[in-house]
Amino acid sequence: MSAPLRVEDMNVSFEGPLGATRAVRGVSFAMNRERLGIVGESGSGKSTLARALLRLGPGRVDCRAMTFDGIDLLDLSASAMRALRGRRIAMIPQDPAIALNPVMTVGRQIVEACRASERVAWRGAKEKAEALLERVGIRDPERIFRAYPHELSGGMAQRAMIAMMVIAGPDLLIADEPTSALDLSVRHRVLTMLDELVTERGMGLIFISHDLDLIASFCDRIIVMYGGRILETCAAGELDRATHPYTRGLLAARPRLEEPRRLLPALERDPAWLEDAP
Amino acid sequence: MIELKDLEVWYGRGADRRAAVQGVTLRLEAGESYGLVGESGSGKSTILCAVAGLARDWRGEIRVGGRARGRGRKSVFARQLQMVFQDPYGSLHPRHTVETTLAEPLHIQRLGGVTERVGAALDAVGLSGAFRYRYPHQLSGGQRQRVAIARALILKPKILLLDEPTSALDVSVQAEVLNLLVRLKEEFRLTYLFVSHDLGVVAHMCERFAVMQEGRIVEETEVGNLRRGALSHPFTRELRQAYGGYRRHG
Repeated sequence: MSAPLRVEDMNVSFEGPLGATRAVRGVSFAMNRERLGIVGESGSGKSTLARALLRLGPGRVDCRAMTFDGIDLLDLSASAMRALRGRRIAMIPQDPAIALNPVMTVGRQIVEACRASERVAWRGAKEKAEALLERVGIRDPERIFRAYPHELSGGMAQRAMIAMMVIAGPDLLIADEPTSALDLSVRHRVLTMLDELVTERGMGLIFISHDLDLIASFCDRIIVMYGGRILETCAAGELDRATHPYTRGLLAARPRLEEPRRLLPALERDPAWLEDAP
Repeated sequence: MIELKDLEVWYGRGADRRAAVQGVTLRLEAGESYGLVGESGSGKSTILCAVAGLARDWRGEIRVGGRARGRGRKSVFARQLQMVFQDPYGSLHPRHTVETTLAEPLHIQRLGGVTERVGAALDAVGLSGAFRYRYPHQLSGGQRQRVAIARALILKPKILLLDEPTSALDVSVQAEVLNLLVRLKEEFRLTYLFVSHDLGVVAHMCERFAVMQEGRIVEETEVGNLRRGALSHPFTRELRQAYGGYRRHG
């Protein structure tokens, strides 16, 4: 299948009292049913880009073309877009504590997500939800199912959110820092599940993270963002051979277990990285 | 410099009373950097709180600079040790300027020369005088953490208790803050008790570290052993394996 997702010249800007801020600038990429990593520091525009792919604000989106599986996403009516969200393209937001509905039990929210996309009885959806919660390493899924979001730790809420977003079986999953609140052992379980969804079900995955090591080891391909622009794209296995000085600087700034150093090299930022290509 | 003997710390009351730290014994020499590693809820931050006098319900022995720590916070200890917290967005008072924040410990300790001391502390963490009258919302995460470090340093303590001081920061900013901590340690001959979940950061900053699981220390070893992979406890080996990213099966 040829590129399910294709984005051409996407720009997102925010109007403010001091004029417009361009959060995403001229971003173009295409992806297949693969694990695409987007890496960059805070403010690089990666989350704004993720939201814009679903046509979610804030910000004004200008894009020459954006298609998914042959559908023109820019041309879609609001209701058709709503029908597509969750069912075909789902997103795990960065802060699950805010994204979950505080006055509804976690279980009801997951079941709702499931029943919005397929005709299934409450009981069937509940069983599916609990199986998913168990798969992401929640030992007592029944208790979590009955809990309200404020009763969950950050890691629990993050996993509940992941269960909610994959239960409908989307074709493309956008995961914005999906494992940032998770301990290492649980993180591995969640990554394994996402991995299986890609390899077994052929789901496409956009994995957003600031963690270079994680992206390099988990993804197939990496996009490096800075100041709203794509600076570099490379195969994940070849990240250590990245050529852009920003990527090189980030790689060098990580404390390494293997090589003791007294000080870490500071990243020198070049204003030219923010300039538009001629 | 810090000695803990059979430390137990409890949270909650009555039927909800639970031990967060159990049977922890450790010893830090002056000038040493010692790491505490573990997953969330393993008790590593609780140890820092107990040493800082922020835990109420504890048993065992806590000695700082040879002196036994009693209940509650004492101003003698504040002069000797200070804490830097994980979240630079939550640890600074949003309606206090940088100067107010930095001057508060001086007022509490009835110390004079506030203007000079605040200036010196800002200087030590690499912030210019222009930051003196700013509010936290006018600072980046890295700048906030520098202010938190300046506040910790202003009483010229011998010990810093660092609770994940860089985990909320970007890699490049983390590098700057870690470099700052390395320089400050050399300049003021500080002793660090450093909590982190990141083995790379611990290996970079510390000489020795303890691995915690469910409130107990399961392994204490030198960073050299971590580099060589010479680790004895299965949980430590698991952490070491998970470091550096994702490993696919088969």
